[in-house]
Amino acid sequence: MRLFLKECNAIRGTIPWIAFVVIVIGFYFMNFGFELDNQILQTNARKDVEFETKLMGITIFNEYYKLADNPLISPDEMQDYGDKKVIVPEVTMPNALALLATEYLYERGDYFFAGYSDISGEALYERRGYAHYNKFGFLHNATISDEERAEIAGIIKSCTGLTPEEIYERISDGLAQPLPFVAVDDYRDRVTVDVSYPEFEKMMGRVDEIIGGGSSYAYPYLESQALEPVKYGDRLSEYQSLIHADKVTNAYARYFCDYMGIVIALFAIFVSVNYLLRDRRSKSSELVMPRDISSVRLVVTRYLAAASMAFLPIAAISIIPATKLAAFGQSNGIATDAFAFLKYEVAWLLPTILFVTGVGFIVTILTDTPAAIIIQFVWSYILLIVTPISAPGGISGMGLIVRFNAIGDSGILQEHIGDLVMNRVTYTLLAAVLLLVSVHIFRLKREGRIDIAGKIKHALSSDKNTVQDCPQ
Amino acid sequence: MLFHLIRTQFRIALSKTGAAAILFTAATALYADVRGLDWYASAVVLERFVSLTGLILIASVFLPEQDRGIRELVGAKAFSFNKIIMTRLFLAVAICFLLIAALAFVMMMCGSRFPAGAYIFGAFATALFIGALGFGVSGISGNTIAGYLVAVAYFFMNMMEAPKDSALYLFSLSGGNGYSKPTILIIACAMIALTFAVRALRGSGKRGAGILR
Repeated sequence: MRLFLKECNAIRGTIPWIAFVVIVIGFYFMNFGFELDNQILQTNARKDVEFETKLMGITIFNEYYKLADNPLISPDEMQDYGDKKVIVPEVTMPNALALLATEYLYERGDYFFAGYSDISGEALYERRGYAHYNKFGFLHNATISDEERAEIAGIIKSCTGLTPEEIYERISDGLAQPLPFVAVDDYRDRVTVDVSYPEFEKMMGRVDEIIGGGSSYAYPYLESQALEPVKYGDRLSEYQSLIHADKVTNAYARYFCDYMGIVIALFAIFVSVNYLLRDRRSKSSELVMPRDISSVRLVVTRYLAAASMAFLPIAAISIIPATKLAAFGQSNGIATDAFAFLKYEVAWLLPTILFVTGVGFIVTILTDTPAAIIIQFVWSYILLIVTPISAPGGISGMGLIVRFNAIGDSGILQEHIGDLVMNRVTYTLLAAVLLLVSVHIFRLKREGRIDIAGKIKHALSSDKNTVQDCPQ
Repeated sequence: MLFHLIRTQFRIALSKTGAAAILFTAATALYADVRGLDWYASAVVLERFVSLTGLILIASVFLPEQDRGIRELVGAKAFSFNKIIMTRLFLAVAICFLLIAALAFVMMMCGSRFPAGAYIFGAFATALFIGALGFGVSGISGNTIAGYLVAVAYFFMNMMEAPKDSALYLFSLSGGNGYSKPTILIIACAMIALTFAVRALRGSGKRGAGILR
């Protein structure tokens, strides 16, 4: 315990740990804290409001809040309950086919939509293909072969009895070029669909396959084709679920974990890598290696210290929303869960911390370089782009970053709780494996049986004189 | 003499990070699938991905002196440490620019459509800015990891919540205009100059990188 506290104390004074704490605080307020404050204030004001938060004269948060956007307000206080994206066959099908006909003509080169760059004046904002996202989340405009083009025209014809040109004529309202994103318009009066929804879905699946996946014609983008007003009953059940099932704090704890998971995946690595490289920087690794302490005890203690010091600022800052929501609950007669944030942090965020710290340990002990930072950073950056922001996509995969960008939706969480538990347990076990391998590598290094860092250094330099070569 | 200095410094400070930057750029070209991108997708690849080579190359210029042995050795030499750092910095910036230009060229060869000059300049400005931010923090604090951390944090702040009309916004090419690029390029140069000035005032230019924790 004494060694553990000593190691924690050593991390506490490092610049990267202090910077990590500052990032946690900044990220908390920018993405969560100001929003929570404003929602509580609006609940008391009971009207649409515009919130502006300034720091040293610079606007850092400015948002217009409708009552419908605030989950803390009962639907009885609202005039309308907002809109939601849905699949309504009679709207989704004509809208999707109108978009497909337009993209068909863009891709064939009959039309294109162009905007002009402020930089060069060139026509840049143009589309000459089917918009789709590749598996890494990059937007592409797909072009296809003549056979595939004919197949898509056939699909459009069998769904509507019309050619793409005829559909385009009906939806373009005499404009030379229709707007590029027609998805939210309602074309049901102009495009009649003659197939059932399951047949339509099957054909759109084939279209998506031809385009290369990630197009507007498959989940989740097909859902963007129709908007529907939220009904009073739905909104009321959401509100009741927030108040009774989630006791408010559980829903906000999930939202908090959504953002803090990003901070941990991207930045916690700096704490552990800096901590381990400290010995090398100060040349004390030569002193540590022959010490009379077992490799297991030394590495495990250091690992626990690094993980604890990454977890500490997150746990500490969550006291702020937990306290505010407890006070809100008390003044509005709502029962809250005092330990909601801590529970979610341990179950949801701690596995990420353990895994990231494990990556930091294994790579740094092996190479004596900050390579772990680049590996973890690039991986997390890509994950952040490809992971769906909301449930169910955000919690059902095996990604390190778990996303749940919603206040409420406890029903979706319950449906996918098995996936989430599997994900978190897997990363905890992987973290344990990384730790064991780190201990083994450290032991081998201590015994002088491996020296990867030396080999890398040797491989990259053709002679042994490096700094000594500098001109006098 | 000059060639010898460049070769030595490249080997000491840029061989590993240079290899990592080349690998990262090549990987970006592969996973982003740079064939037939439009202006927006091209801007995303260049300013939100390949600009990170600035972080890898420029922010790590002080890295070798994080090792106490090298630091003491450098500190004992009579030549100006700042001259060494300038040489490394020049090499890092040049490699960064070449990588961005090379990828832009490959993208155009693969049918992507964007104004090459403006995009290369814009992506390079972003790369230099985050690199200079990391370089500054690293040079002043004596801790390269802290330099990386601050630069990455600023990069992500821009991705998540930054006001899109700010003069310090890193990703204005994706908005179709690139209005902030000249400003961030000038500020990047100012940060580099300031780092040298602070180090000169503290006398660290002669005795190697000062070290904090």
